[in-house]
Parts: sequence; structure tokens; C-alpha cells
Amino acid sequence: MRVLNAILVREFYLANSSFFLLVIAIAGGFMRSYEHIALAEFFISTPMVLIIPVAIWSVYSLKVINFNRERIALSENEFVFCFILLSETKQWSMTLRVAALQLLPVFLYGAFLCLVASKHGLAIPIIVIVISSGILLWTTAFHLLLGLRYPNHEKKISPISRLLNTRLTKPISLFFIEWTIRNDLAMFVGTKVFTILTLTGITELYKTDSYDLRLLSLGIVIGSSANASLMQTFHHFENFHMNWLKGLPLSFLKRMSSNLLTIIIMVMPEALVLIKNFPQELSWLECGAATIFLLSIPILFYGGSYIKDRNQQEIMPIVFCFVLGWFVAILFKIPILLLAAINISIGIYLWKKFYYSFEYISKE
Amino acid sequence: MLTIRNFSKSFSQELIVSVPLLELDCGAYWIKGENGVGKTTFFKSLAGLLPCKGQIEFDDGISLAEFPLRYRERVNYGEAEPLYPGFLTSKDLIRFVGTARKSSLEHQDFLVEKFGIHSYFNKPCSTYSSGMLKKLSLALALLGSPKLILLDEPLITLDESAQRILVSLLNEYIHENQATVILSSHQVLSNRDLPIKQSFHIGNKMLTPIDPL
Repeated sequence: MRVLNAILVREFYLANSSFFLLVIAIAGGFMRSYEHIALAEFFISTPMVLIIPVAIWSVYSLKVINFNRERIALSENEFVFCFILLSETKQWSMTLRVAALQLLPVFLYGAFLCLVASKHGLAIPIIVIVISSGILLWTTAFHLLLGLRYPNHEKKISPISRLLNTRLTKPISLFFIEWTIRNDLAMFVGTKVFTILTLTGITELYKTDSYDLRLLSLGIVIGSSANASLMQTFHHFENFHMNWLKGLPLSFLKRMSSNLLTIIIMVMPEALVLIKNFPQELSWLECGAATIFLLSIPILFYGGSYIKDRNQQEIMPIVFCFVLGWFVAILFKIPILLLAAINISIGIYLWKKFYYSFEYISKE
Repeated sequence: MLTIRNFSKSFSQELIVSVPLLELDCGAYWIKGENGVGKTTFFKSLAGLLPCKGQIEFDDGISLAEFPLRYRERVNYGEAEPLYPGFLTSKDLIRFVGTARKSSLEHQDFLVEKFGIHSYFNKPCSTYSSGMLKKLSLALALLGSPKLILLDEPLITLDESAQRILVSLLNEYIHENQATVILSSHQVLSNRDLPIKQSFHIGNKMLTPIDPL
């Protein structure tokens, strides 16, 4: 049990620590106790509304199932397959306990909803919550049990993938995008959603009041700086998972054009949102400058990541300093096109200067 | 000829391996050493994957420090335990590396056929066994017209037939391309199959020659 706890439960919470911290920050920092109770009362008000938390719990359970499946598939965890030597009862009790620990946030919030429901004398929400929690627990435990009992299942390739693999050769610019979507979808989608919402929210302000480009530029700084984590992951992918790329005889121009294309594709969603919602009172020239500025920030962060191997905790204060610097520059009416040119120039300079001398020493 | 002069590689100011002077002509060289003495670090440094001090230069003046691109055109490296993103296929990797190394499509397909990669050419790497991955990495390490081929533990996980193919291909590169092959192996190499010009030992942070075979 201690082994399963170490490789599945502890690793699950460690891998998702930033997500849980975000939830705790929102729940504990922004919402007050009566707001929590009001939200709970809303959830239990009708069975239809109760579907919302149950759906969120189901997504969470799928995440747990997926995490367990991936962990079990790692060659370093092959030793856990001696699990099948245990008795049937022991296997079930262990997988149920692991699943229960991983689903703890679901059960805690479910218990809170049950408490609120019981105060209002509502029986149906309690029954729905207990049954859905039980189903989720059983499903998660059952998938874990299957994974541990039948470890060497055949890896199937879907006919569509087979056809695409036969007909197409993936271009290098898409390597990272596919990798991050497959390995860190939550971060990718989360970053994009945050950036898009920030830009949409800022552009909405222009519909009711009159502002110059500076307000939008501040929004671009906040939104685009959120890509810093994504850029660090891109850098990690290049220098850790694809470290052999450095040994290939590719000119810097080729490497740069390929990586710039990757960055442009990644920034495309927010660039499209920016262009689509661009305030009408601002000129098209300013729209072009804003789009280039949006793109320049990830380029600077990507190039800067070659200076030294830094982890996420070390990078965030640097990002924060840059955000403050851009804020001040924008407030003092320094043209964003000039800022963009500086960002791109510094980013490419650092990238070229440190490309071959960068040494990845971080562990996975 | 490849000349390595005043070479040293350190991690966090701790010296891993140093080579005061080493001159290698075309032919095969065998580097021996216990686990963790710095063989892979030495190989990766020669391949330009890790920054290092000193001079690594071909006899026409093309050096790693001064001509990073032209140097890399001549140097291929095969990893001991290759690992590629699971969603990429052999085709994706061979076509990409082949284009970068200016290897013709015919030569790429020749290596695919030779190592028996064609049976899993369009399948993603996540479905490969370690032997299949090794064959792929060796094919990648032989693309183009390398003058220096660095193979880190090339024989592990390879079946006997693939080992024979590898040895015969290396002999071709040595005789037709005048290539220098440096390999590390814990397995005994038969001098009859692949004539070893000189063996070296890495230990005590130094690369020292062993008596000729």
C-alpha cells in the first residue's frame, strides 16, 4: 500500500500541486464563507443544477484514471505488477483506498454539499451525491485494478492515426505542440483560456468607455506573459526530450524559423481574438503593433530561457519584473512597436548567444 | 584526422573527463570504462550536444568551436539508451534528420531496409521495444556522410543479425568514407569483424590508450 501511495497518490498531488494551489487560492482567497454556502445552496437547489458539481467530479475522476494509467505504463514502475500475486480481496481493498485518497477533494466537497442539504432537509441531493461519489470511487478503483492486473496490454493505434502516420510526415514545428497537447493539456488550455479571457475582457472595456492603446497594451502584457510557463516547457522539450537536435547541422536561421513558427502557432488563438475584438476607435496600424507586441513577449521569454537552467519558481519573479517594466514603459507612452522590437531583438540575441553553451542540468 | 587538444568537461566545476591530446585517424576506436566514468559525457561533448573546453578539430581546420555548423555536418552520434517522443514515428524522425543531414531519400530507405525498420516505419515510437528504438537510433546515426561516428553502447539490445549489419555498415563507412568510428561497449568486440585500431580507457577523469589489440 505504501508503494502505491508513493507512486500514485503522492505523485498525483505533486504533479497537480499548482492546480490545487489555484483552487485553494480562489476558494480561500476570493470567496468568503457565506459565498461558499450560497454556492452550495445553489448546487443542491435542483437535481439539474447538481449535475454541475457531479460533472466536475467526473472530469476530475477521468484525470485521476488517466494519471494512474500513465504512471503504471512507466517502465520505472514495472515492479508494481507483482500486485497480481495478492489475493482478490487485498487487491480490491488497496485499489479502493488509493482511489479514495486521490478522490479526497471530491468526497470533502461532496460531504460539504450533503451537510448543507441536510440543514435544508433535502434528501434527494444527498442520495445523488452519495451514489455518484460511490460510482466514481468504484470506476477509478476498477480502472486501476485493470491496469495493475493486465499491464502489458497491446498498444493499439487507431485507423485514423495509422492513415495519418502513413500519409503524412510531421513537420518539426508541430513536434512541441503535439507533445504539449498530449502531455500537458491542462497547462496549454489553461494558459490559452486565461490569455483569451484577459484580452476579451480588456477589449470589452473599449465598448463602454474611451481609452487609448495603453489599456489594451497592459492587457497584452498580462495575457502574453502567461505564456512564460509554456515557453519554459518548450525550452525543456527542446533541450531535454529532443536534446539530439543540438547535434544536427541546422543553421541558426533554420532553427529560428522553425521555432518561431511553433511560437506563432501557439500564440495564434489570442492573436486571432485580439484582431477580431480590436477596438474600432483604434487604427489598424495599432492593431498590427499590438499583435506583434503580443508575439514578442513569448519570444523574449523563450530566448531568455537559454541563459541559464532555471525552474518555474526561479522564472516567475523574473517574469514579474518584466511585467512591471512593461507596465511602466507603456504608462510613459513608449510605443509598443518599439517595445516589441526590443523584446524580439533581445530574445533572438540571447537565443543565438547561449544556444550551444546551454546545458540542461534539471531533472525530470 | 580528428585532433582533440586540451579537452576537458566539467559539471558544476567538477571535472568529469580531460584529454590533453588525442589524434584519431580513420578507423574504429573502442573506449572502455566502468559505468559513470564519463564515456557518454565525452561522446556528447564530441557530438556538440554538451559544451566543453578545448579544441576538437578535423585536419582541414573545421573545429567544433569555430565552425559549429560544418563540424556538425560531419559528426553523427548514436545514444546508448535512445528515447524519442512517443507520438513520433520512425518516418518522422528519419525524414527530418535525413533532410538536416542532406541524406538522400534512397540512402534513408536503404538504412530503413537494412535495419528492418520498414516493418514499424509508420508506427509511433511509443509502441517500440528497446531493440527497435536502438535500430532506429543507429539508422539516424548513420544518415548523411559522417566523418566521425560516435556510438555509445551500440550493441546493447541489438539482436545478432542487426549487430552483423551494423559492423558491416561501419566497415563500409570506414573504407569508403574514410570515417572515424568511436564506440563504447561493455560487450567484447571481435577484432576480426570490426578491426579496432586502438582502445582507450576512461578512468580517473582521464582518457588513456590501452596497448594495441
